[in-house]
Amino acid sequence: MPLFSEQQIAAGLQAGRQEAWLQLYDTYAARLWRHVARIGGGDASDVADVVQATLLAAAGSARGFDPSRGSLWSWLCGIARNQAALSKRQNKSLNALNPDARQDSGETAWAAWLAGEIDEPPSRLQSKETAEIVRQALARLPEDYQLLLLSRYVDGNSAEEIALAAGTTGQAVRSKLARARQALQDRLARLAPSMIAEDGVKQ
Amino acid sequence: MKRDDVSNVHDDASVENRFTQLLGSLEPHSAEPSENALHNMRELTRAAFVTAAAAKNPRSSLFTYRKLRSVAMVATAAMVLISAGAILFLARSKPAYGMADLPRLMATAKTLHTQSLVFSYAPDEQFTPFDKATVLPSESWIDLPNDRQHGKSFMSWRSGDGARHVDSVESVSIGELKMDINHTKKTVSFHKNTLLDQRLAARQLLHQYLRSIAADEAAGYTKVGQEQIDGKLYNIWQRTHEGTNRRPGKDGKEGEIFHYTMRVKCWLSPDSGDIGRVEQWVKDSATDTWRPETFQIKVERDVPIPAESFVQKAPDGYEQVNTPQKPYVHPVSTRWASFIGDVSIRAYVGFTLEDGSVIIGWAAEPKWPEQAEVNKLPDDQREKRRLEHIGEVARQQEPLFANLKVGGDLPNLPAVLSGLKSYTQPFASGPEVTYSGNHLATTRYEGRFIEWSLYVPERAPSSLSRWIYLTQWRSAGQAEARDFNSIYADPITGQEDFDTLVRGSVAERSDGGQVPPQVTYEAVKRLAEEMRARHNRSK
Repeated sequence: MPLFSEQQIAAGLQAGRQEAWLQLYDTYAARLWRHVARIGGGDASDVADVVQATLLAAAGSARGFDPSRGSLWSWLCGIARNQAALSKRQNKSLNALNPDARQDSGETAWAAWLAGEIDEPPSRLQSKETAEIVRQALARLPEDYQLLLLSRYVDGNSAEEIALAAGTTGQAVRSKLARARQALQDRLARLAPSMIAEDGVKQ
Repeated sequence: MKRDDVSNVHDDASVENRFTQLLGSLEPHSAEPSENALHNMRELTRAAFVTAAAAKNPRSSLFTYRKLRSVAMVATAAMVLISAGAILFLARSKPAYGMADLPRLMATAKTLHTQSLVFSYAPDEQFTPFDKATVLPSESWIDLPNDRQHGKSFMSWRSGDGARHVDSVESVSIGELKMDINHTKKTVSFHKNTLLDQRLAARQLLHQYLRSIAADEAAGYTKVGQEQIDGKLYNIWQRTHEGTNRRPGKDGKEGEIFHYTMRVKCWLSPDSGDIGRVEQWVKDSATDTWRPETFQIKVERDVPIPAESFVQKAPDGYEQVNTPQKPYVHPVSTRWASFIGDVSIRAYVGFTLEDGSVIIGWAAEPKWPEQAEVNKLPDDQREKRRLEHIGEVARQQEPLFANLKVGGDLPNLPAVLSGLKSYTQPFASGPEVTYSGNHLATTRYEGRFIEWSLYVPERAPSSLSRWIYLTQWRSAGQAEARDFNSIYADPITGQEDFDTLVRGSVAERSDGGQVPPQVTYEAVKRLAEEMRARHNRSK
C-alpha cells in the first residue's frame, strides 16, 4: 500500500518497511540536495558526498525516527547540517575562512546594507568568499531560523505559504522572519570585518 | 535606519530584496541535483535501510537482491554505517577475548547462525573495472550435533545468450535428506546424500566462515577501536594485507598478475567472544578505491534455533519436482569437476592434513557422448547403461592402475590432477605455493577407478590459503594448466578426525567398504615427510 502522509511514512520507517524509506527518499532527496548545496557549498561532488552521507546516516537510524521531535524534513536537515559541518572540518582547504579566527565583532557592510543604511551592496557580494561567509553565518543560526530564511529568500515561498506548511499564521512567520534576519545580520557582522576593510566600505 | 529598528521593517520590500540578493549568493551550480546521482543514492540508501532494519530485527527477511550502481557509494555507505556508532578508544585492564581466541571459540561451536551481505560485481572477473554491484543477502544455520543445515542465498548463472541471472535459493538439510528450493523458479526438489558428506558440508561452512575472517592469522589483527552494537560493547579488530593473484585468461590460458589489498574488520566482544559484525574490503589497485566484498551482519554461536528453521515443507504454489520419499539419490558427493578436452575429470573429496599436505580422491574418464540419450531412458534402463559404461571405462583404465606404487607417479590417465596451487585470492597474502602430487591409494566405486593422491606443498603455505586450492592438471599433448574453480579440502586435526572423515570417505568410495592399508593417519604423515624430503633433494 502506498504511503502518503508523513505519519504513515514515519510508522513505516519504524516498522522497517523499505517502501517507507523509498517514499521518504522520493519526497525529500532532491530538496535535500538543494538544501545541502546552499548550506554547504562546494562543487557538485562535495554536495553529492554530503547528501549521500546524510541519507545513509538517515537510513541507518530511520527506525528510530521520533515524529514527536519534529518533521521528517527537519530531521533530515539536522542530519545534513551535522554532515556538512563534518565535511567542512575534514576539508582543510576551507580553513582559510575559519570563523574562529574572525571573532572580533563590529559593524559590517552587509549588516549596514541589509539594514538599508547604505544603498550599494558590498562589491564582493557575488563572490565565493561571500557565499561562504553567509553559509557560516547561517550555520550558526538556530536550525528553524536557517530553514525559514532559505525557504523565504532562496525558494521564494511567501510567508503565507510557509505558514500553511508549518501549521501557523502568516503574521507569526513574518515575526519570526524578522528575528531570523536580525540574527543573520548579527552573525555576519561578527564574521566578516576583515573583508569589509578590504572592500573599503566599512562604515 | 538603525539596526535596532530592523525588526520593524520585515515588510519593507527593499529589505526583502536585499536578503534575497544576499542569500541568493548561496545558489551555486551544484544546487540542481544530478538525476544519476540521486538514482544511485536511492538504491544505495534502500540497501542501507534494509541492512540497518535487518540488523535490528534478525528475523527479517533479507532475501531481495539489490543493484548498487556505484561501488564508491557502496563503500561510502558502509563506512558511514560504521562511523554512525560512537567509536571509543578505551583501555581495558581485565583479561578479554581477542582474535587469537576466535578459532577455538568457533571450533567448539555446536550451532552457528549468520546473516551476510555479499557484494557481487559485474563483470564477474575479479578486479576488472566495475560500475555496479549486486548485493546478495544470505543467511545460514548450522546445527552440527543434529546434522542439520539451513541456508538462504543466491545462485548466479548465465544463460546461453550470455545473460547473467541471479536466482534466490534455499536449502534445508536434516540428516541425509536435503530440500532445495528455487524461489525464482518456484521449484522444490529433494536430494539424498550420505550422512558423512552432509557432515563434511556442514564443517565446510564453518571452516569457510573462519577462513573468511582470517581468524587463524590473529597476529595480523590490531585493535582499532570500540563500538556499541545494540547496547553491547565490541572491540574492533582490523587486519590489512597485500596479495597477488592471476586473472583467468582466455582459452584456459593464464591471465595477467594483479595486486590487491584486503582488509578484514571484526567486531569482537571482549567479554563473551561473540562476533558483532565482520566486514571484508578489497582495494582495487587500478582505481585505488576500497570496495566491499562481504559483510556479516549477524554471527551467533550456540543460540537457540527457531523451530521453523528446519522444516522440509515445500512452499505453497511451488512445483515439487520430486518427493521426500523419492529423492534424487547422490551416492557420494563431487567437490570439483571439469572437462579437459574430451575428458571428464572430477574430484570427489579432499582433506588438508596438519602438515599442509592434501589428500584428494579423483577420477578421469572420456566424455560419454551417449549420456544425453541415456538420460532419456527409464530409470532402470538408465542405471543399467550407466554401470555398463563405467565398466567399459574401468576395463580400459585397469592397466594404468596396475603397477602404481605408494609415493610413486600418478596414474597416466587421459587427464591427470597433477598438482594443486594455493588459492591466494582474495584472502591470503604471500606468493603462490605449488603442491606436487604422488600416488597414495586406489579404490573402485561402482567399478570406477578412484585415484587417491597425496599433494605436498613445495614450502609452507600461508595459513590463510589452507583448505581451498586451485587444481592443476595435464592431459595428453597439453602443457600443465589449471582450473580456476577452486576445491575445498576439509582440515583434519588428529587421528580421530582422520579415521572418521578420511578413512570414512575412502570407505564410502570403495565398493567393498574397504580402506587400503596405507591410508592411516601415521602412514600418510610418514609418506608426506618422505615426499617433502624427496622434493627438497631434487631442488
